[in-house]
Amino acid sequence: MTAQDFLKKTLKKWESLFEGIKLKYAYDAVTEYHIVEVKPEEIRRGSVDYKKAEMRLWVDFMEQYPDECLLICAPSDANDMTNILFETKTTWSFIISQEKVIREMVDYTRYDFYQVHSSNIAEIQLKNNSYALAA
Amino acid sequence: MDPYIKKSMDNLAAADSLVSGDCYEASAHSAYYSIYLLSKELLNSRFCVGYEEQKRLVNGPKSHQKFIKKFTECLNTVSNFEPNDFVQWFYQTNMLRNKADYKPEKLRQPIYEANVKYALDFAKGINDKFKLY
Repeated sequence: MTAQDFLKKTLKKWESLFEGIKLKYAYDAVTEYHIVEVKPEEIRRGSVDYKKAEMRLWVDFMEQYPDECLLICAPSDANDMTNILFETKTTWSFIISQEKVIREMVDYTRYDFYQVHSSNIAEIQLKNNSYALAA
Repeated sequence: MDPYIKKSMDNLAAADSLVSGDCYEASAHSAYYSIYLLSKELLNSRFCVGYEEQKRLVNGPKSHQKFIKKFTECLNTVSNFEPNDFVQWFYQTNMLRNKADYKPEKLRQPIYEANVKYALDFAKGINDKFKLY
């Protein structure tokens, strides 16, 4: 199995294991680096299970592909992600159909109302964060 | 002070000075070597991976990958310790060093400033845990 296929297989598994995780995998041919960007931070550095899985991936990857380089990190402008090989479909948005559910979940004093797409969808952007809730 | 620790700290100071002086690509080299040299001392003094064994690791192409692998293996033996950030910073500064050498386009200063911070956080974190100096 190539390093790329190995990473795609693992990241697909992570997508089902860690609800809400957003993953982007690219290969930078100039630096010869496989780069996996992970968000949100609540999972990346807040989940013990995720951190264990991340370290397991590094160890397994180093063992099986000793001549390949893998960086797993938060999204960064330093990363050249133009050659994307895998990206999760999970987005910040999740659909909530009931307005009362939104009211139960969202403290309007903390959020700015960003955009309303339709009667069923509203995107609310957190102040000082880059989350978007779609309801 | 151990010579590798001194070299590491000199490289860290150099990285900081170079990025302030707009010598971004050079700062990337110094930031990476600050981490690499401190790791050499860490592996030698805390994990009994002597310098001769380390020399064998860094012989040949992609040699630093083998060193980072050894570094990761050693840190994973430490109980109640999560090495994730240290492995990330090692790879991150290594990648930026490669990018500084081979990518024609100039990256923005904040990227290199963040890179120096990775090296600083690495040194602080390693010393907090392992008390090298």
